[in-house]
This record gives sequence, structure tokens and C-alpha cells, in this order.
Amino acid sequence: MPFNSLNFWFVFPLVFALYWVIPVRYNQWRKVFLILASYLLYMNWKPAFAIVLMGVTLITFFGSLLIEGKQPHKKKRLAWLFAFLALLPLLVFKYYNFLNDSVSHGLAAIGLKFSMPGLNWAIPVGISFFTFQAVGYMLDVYHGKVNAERDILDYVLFVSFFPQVASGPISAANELLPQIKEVHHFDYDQGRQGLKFLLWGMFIKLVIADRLGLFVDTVYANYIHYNGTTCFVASVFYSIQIYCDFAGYSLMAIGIARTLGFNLPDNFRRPYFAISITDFWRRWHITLTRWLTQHIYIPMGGNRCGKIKNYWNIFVTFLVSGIWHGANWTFVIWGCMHGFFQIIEKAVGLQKYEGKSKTIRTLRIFVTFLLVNFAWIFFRMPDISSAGIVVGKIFSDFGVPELSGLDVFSQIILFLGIAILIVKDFRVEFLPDRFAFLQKSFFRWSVYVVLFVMILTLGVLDSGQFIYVNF
Amino acid sequence: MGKYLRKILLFFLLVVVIDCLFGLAFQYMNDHSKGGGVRSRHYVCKESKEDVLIFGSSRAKHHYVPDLIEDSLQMTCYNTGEDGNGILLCYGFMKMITDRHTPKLVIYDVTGFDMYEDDNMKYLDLMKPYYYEKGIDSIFWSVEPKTRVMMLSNLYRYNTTCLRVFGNYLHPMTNYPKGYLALNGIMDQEPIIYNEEPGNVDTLKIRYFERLISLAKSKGINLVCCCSPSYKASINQDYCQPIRQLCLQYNVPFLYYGDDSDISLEKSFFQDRTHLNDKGARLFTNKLISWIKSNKSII
Repeated sequence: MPFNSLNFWFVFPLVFALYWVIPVRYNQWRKVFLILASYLLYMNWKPAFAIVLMGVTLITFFGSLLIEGKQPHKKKRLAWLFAFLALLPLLVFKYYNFLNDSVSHGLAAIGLKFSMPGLNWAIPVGISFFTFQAVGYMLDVYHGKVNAERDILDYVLFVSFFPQVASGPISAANELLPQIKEVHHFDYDQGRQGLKFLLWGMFIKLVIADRLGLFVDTVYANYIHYNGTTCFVASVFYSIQIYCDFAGYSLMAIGIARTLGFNLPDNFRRPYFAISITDFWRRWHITLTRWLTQHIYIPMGGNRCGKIKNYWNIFVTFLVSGIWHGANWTFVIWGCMHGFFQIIEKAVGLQKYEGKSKTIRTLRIFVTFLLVNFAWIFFRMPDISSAGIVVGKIFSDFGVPELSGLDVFSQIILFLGIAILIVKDFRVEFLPDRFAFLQKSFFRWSVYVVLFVMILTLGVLDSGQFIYVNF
Repeated sequence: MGKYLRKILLFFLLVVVIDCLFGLAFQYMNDHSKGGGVRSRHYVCKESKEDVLIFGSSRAKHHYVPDLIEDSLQMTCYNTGEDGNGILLCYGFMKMITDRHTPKLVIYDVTGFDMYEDDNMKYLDLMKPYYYEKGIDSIFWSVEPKTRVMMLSNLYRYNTTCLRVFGNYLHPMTNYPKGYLALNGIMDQEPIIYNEEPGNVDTLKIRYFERLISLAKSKGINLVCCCSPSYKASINQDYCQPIRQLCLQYNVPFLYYGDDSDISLEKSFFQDRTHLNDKGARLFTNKLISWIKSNKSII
């Protein structure tokens, strides 16, 4: 059930109340209650999806128990076997049709006709997220970073915890499992922090991301009719949209978890103020980057090897990142572009900047944003040829941007939302200690009320999905 | 926990107070707007008394010239067309109008918005300020039962439109004489014509179209359904089939001008593939008037 649906806002206060009403001495029942709530909310998408969620949970739970304490060569074989089994639903649901189509087209190009029947199944929501979380735990057990979990209830809750099951953040076992075992007492500050995250997450999702989406969808659906400048404006808006959509979801997930006494890891740290692509990936989808670093990049040798091998490791890691996002060549290209940009940065020594020049810093932020923005075009378009046409138009078909379908009032709403986002992120990034008066109760409450009223009046309240739920 | 819940309660009390105050303010501005689309809609819903009314989407708004109809038929006329809208909004308008006034003739410009499945909530946006008018709430409930709860918020009734309401009250920038909005551009490039398959027929929209026909019949209003010209439209791609059948079933005249040879092949009559410019609209309106004059029984 998406956090931006009205149904969720009927259900969540009930979950919150019942969770805290269960006395501390019945902590086990609290966990059972959270598991039930998590599964029921997940089954609201489609009940059959829960079978996949439970399947991945059981495979990694028993797999980890079998792996732990085994001889290294046996352990490795078991780890490969169970990782493959756990990843199998993801591979089948998400990549079978893509592989099938790609092989058929490849063979057709050399005159051979061969195709397997396609699957017409819906992809279970959040499969990439919960599979990576569960496999990550199993690999941590394999590497001896954590002990295998023996309490199946704790582990089921670890994989299915409702705030994060659909779109992360992807928690590591040593972050979330100890919290699940803990007895939680309500903490006022944690609860307050949770509601603040929730409010800001809802604001950037409903007022900024979904409103930008109306314009972006219109232009990208009919890009052939728009000039290159309009396509460029749409691409910039999409960059902001996807940030607000995914960061908004993550903040809401973190906020909801905090009201229940759990601390989930941060997923975003003002990514568009990054001074290089390497820096961007320290700020964007932090938990996925961490997963890929720990389970792909480092096992391949990381940077403790020769230059060429290191570049190869970076490239493969980002190729996997691209493929993780979706079964389409556009995602593969997007991942390769990010890998390629980072290799160039590393080769030229541009991945860091420790100087104090504000001009250079600003320039680097601007160039990094343009590169990221350029890559998002491939991420957003349905196929490579459409992405190519949009890129071609941007560089050749100049003109006055047409903010079509947006009357002056919609434009005001749109730019007002973006301005609030920029001011907020700028203050947190560059002036964290300034404007202390904003911490006074009156200002804080004014901001809360204004944001909530803006959500009610300017938010796109009747829209559907979060972009990353599709991954 | 007590302090936490008390603060949440206080927050929502503040929001409720603001919701009530702002809701009242927006309602006042909506009812007293000085121009623009807000004024035009308010006029249609609460004040219109014309003999001839045009209903439909942007194609209605830009294709039917009330002045020509008034001069030729010696009847008053108003164009209620709204961009990107269809039967769900039009039925609401018709319901509010016929509660206080009975027009003699209603011309309904049919588009895909009147029969095919898509996000029906978007068709209700402009009707939200009129939610409490007689018979309007049930349209919302039939589209989305949850609107029973959402509409408890006064601010939600002005969601998205609040700035427009504010702007149209303070300083309207556009005015639509008799609801018609002339397009003055000329399509200078040959447009790409997609042979898009129409989507699935939306049974809810068809049900509301049937209700509109029944409402017109019960009030003795002559209803004419019409498909206005599109550039290089072909009868073979006639997307109006579901409404055409409905009209046949209820004995309502259905006029198809989609591929009218005098208009639909001439680029200079269009602003874009689906919208006539003023020149094209005047030619089309005159054609329609000729048909009406030759079928005097409907007026």
C-alpha cells in the first residue's frame, strides 16, 4: 500500500496505536503484530506477491543457517547456491522477458528464428529491494560479519518490515536486526523526528515530484512535437522529480519507522550538490551504493588492485546498478554512463576537491548536475532510440521552452515548490549553523502548518505510484 | 506518549481552523471572481440562462462560436466547454443548470474523454467547488468512494485550483466572451498522425452519458451530439462509435463532421491536429447552423 494513498493514512494510525498499546512485556507479540501488519499491507498490492516475499525470506534464513560454521569451500558453494535460489524470483520476474527478447532479437539479426514464450506476470512490488536486503544479510553471514539469525520471527520482520519493503532503504543486518530484538519504549524526540521526516517527505513527493511529473510526462510522451529547449527543461524537471519522488519515499519510510521506534539508514544527502559523480553516489540512494560496494565492488578487489582492474571493478559495479534498476537497455546504458564518468574522474583525479574556491565548487556542482541530468534521460525514456532523439533535439533544436499545459498558476505552484526545496537543501548543506531562530517553537510550528496546508492545496493528491516502487 | 498525542491533536486542530477559514475565503473568491475560467464556470453553474448551450472539452470551447449561433438562430447561446474534460464534468454542469433553467437546445461535442477509460478523478477537479450542490456529490462517489472523506476538507475542494481562484478574483488575465475561446494560430507543419487504438470503453462514462440523455429528455431539451472536424480524420478511425450507438438507441441526432471534406483537409483551418482555429471554427459553426435550420423541429 503506497504511503501517499488515503487508505494508508487510515491504516497507519491504527498500526501505530495498536503497536504501542501492546505492553512491553509482550514484546514477542509486538513483533508478531508488526509482521502481520507488514504482510497485510504488502498483500494489498496483490496477495500472491507475499508468496515470493516469504519464499525469499525462507531461502535466505535457512541458507544462512546452513552456511554458518561450514568449511570454507563448502561454505562458498552453499553461499552461491542459496544466493542463486534467493535471486531466482528476481531474475525470473524481472529479467526473463528482457533476456528472452534480447536473445530473440540477437538471433533474428543473424537470420535465426528462436523465441521462448513470454511471461505475462506482474512483477512483485519491491522485489529488487527485499531480495537485495535478504541476500545482503546472507552474504554478511558468509563473510562472518554477522551471526546467522536463529529467531525466524525476527528475520521475517527484518525482510518484510512495512516501511521499507516496497522501496527501501536497504538495511544491513547489523543495523536493523539488533533493533528488532530490542524492547522499544516510546521516545518523544524520535517520534517527533519521525513526523518531521514524514511531513517533508510528503511535501516533496506530492507538491514537487508529482506536479513536475505532470509536465515531464506530457513532454516525454510527445517529445517529437517539442523543441530541444523544452526537452531539456523536461529533463531538468525529471531530475528534480525523481529526486523528490524517491527521497520523499525514503523520508516517509524513515519517518514511519521512527514513530515505531526504529531507525532506518539515510538514503539521500542532497545529491545535486555533489561536486563529482563519485560524490553523487555517496549522496544518492546511499543504501544501494553501500550494498553494491560491499557485495560487488569490494569482493572484486575494489581499489586495492591495479588501475585497470580498479576501473573494471567500477564499471561492473555500475553495470549491475543499471541492471538492478530495470530490465531494459536504457538502464544498462544509464549504469554504464555512471561507471564511465567515474572512471574518467578517477583517471584524471577529479573525484575529490578539497580546495576552498567557491567558484570551482559551484562550477563542479553545475557540471556534475548536467552529467547526471544527461544520464537520467536514458533512465526515463522507454527505449534507446527515443532517448537518442531527445538528446539529439537538445543539442540541435533550440527554441523557446514551451511550458505547455501549464497555465501561469501551475507554473507558480511548480516553481514555488522547487524554490522551497532548493532553499531548504542549500541551508542544510552550506549553512547548517545559521538561522538558529528557525528552531524556535513558533517558527517550527509555522513551517509544519504551512507545509501541511501546501500539501492539501497544492499537492497532487489523486496520483498513484512512487517511481522506485516499479524497481 | 501523552505529550506526543496532545501535540499531534493541537497540530490537527490548527489545520482544521485554517482549513475552515481558507475554505470560506476560497469559496467567497470562487463565487465573486471577476473573470477567467473561474468566473466562466461559476456563470455556467449558477447563472446561465441561455437558450442554446454547448458542452464538451477544449474542442467544444474552441470550435463553436456562440455569436454566430445567436445571430443566425435568434437565440441566446453560451459555450460551457472546458479543456481536457468530458461527460463527468458536463453531466455535473447539466445537472446544476437544469435545476434552475431549461435550455431549448444542447449541443454536445463528443471526444474520447466521454467514453474511454482513463483517470476519472481529473474530470472532477473543476467541479470540486460545487461538491455540495444538489446531485453533484454522488458523481464524486461513483468515481472514487474515498471522496466522501476527502471532501470533508474545505482546502481539498480547492486543491490545485486555489491559486487560479485567487488570481481570477484579484486580477483575471483572460476572459471568455460567452465561453468561446478563439484560437488564432495556423498549423504550419504537417502533423504526425498516429493510428492509436482507442482504449477500453469506460462503462461509468457511458452510464453518465445515458443519464445526460435521460435528463435532457425528461426536461424536454433537444440534445444534439456532434463530432467536430479533426485534421485528416477518417471515418474508418471514428472513435465515437460507443456514443454513436447510444444516440441511435435513444433517438438522439448524431452529427459526424470529423472528416468533413471542406474543413478537415485544409491545414489553414487548424491550430493543431485536433483544434480548429477561429477561421475553421466559424466555418464549422456555420455548417452546424445550416443543419439546425434545416431541422427546425429541434429548435
